Amino acid sequence: MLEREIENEKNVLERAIRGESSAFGLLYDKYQPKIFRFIFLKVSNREEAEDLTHQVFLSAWQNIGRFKDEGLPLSSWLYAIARNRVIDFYRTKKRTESIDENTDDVLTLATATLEDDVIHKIDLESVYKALKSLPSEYQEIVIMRFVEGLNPSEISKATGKNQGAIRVIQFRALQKLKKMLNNNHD
Amino acid sequence: MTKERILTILYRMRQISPNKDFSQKSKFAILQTPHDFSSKQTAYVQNNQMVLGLFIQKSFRAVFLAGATIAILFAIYFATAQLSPLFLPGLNQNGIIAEADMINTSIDIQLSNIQKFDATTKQSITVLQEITANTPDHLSEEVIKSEQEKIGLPASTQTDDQINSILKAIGK
Repeated sequence: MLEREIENEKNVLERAIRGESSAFGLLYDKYQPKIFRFIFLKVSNREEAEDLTHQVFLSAWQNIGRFKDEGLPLSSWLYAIARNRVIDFYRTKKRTESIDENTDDVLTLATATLEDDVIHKIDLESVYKALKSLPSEYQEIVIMRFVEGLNPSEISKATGKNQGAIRVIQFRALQKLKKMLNNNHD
Repeated sequence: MTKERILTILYRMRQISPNKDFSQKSKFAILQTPHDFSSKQTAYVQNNQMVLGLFIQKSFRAVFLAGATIAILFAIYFATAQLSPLFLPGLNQNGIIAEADMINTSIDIQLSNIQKFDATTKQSITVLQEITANTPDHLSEEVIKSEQEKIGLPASTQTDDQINSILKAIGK
């Protein structure tokens, strides 16, 4: 089943590379929510996340012919573009990632489809704030690994770090989160 | 908070999703933009090939024109160098100078001859005029007679008479 899905995606990707817009549309439908989420958790602003997501897929569509040369899985390639867009976003806007950023958008979107209770919302807010207090590269790896479910190999290709470093950062990030959240609860 | 709880909360963040209306508009806008690297690449390659083809074509044309020009110039040079007196004298300066020199020399010779002829003619005319206008002094009878008298020669001598008579006899 998984192999068939991979084969199917490969076929769709080949068609997209040849310029078939409907094929790229299928890839867009599959990956756009993931990329939006990654960006949104990084910038904490819905409109800016939408704008950056649009830029990522526009760039992907315009440059998809180069995709094979880079030898990445499509997801890694898209996350790499998104990551660079976020870096540029903070660089050009002279902004820094801060835990003081408004978390309302995140909480609204993260709880919109859940039958959420108050406790969940509080935990969500705490975890999100703790996440935002981590160094940028820790945040990226936590989001890719634990929110999006990418494997270390894919994260390695998206970030340019080796898999050993990914595992180390992942471990340290979880330790820090745990420590921060436990301190807050205390 | 436990590690499992943290992971659960993180996992539940997957519920975050973009606005559907935004997604549709964004997708439509992206797919409307001209694709893409592959077609750009194709166009780029085609463009490069076209440019290369034109470049080669132009180069060949330029080389051909340059060769033709050189050949024409060489032919003109050859013609002027070898055949200039006959065909293209105007294009060979040395030929023109040589030819002009030859003509000048010829003219000089002719002028010299004319001058000589003219001088000779004048002298001849003078002599003829002298001959016709004046009797030469040495043929004048009076001059001869006066010279005889100065020298003291007799008007006729015996010897002369003898000679005359012999001649007459022979004449008979």
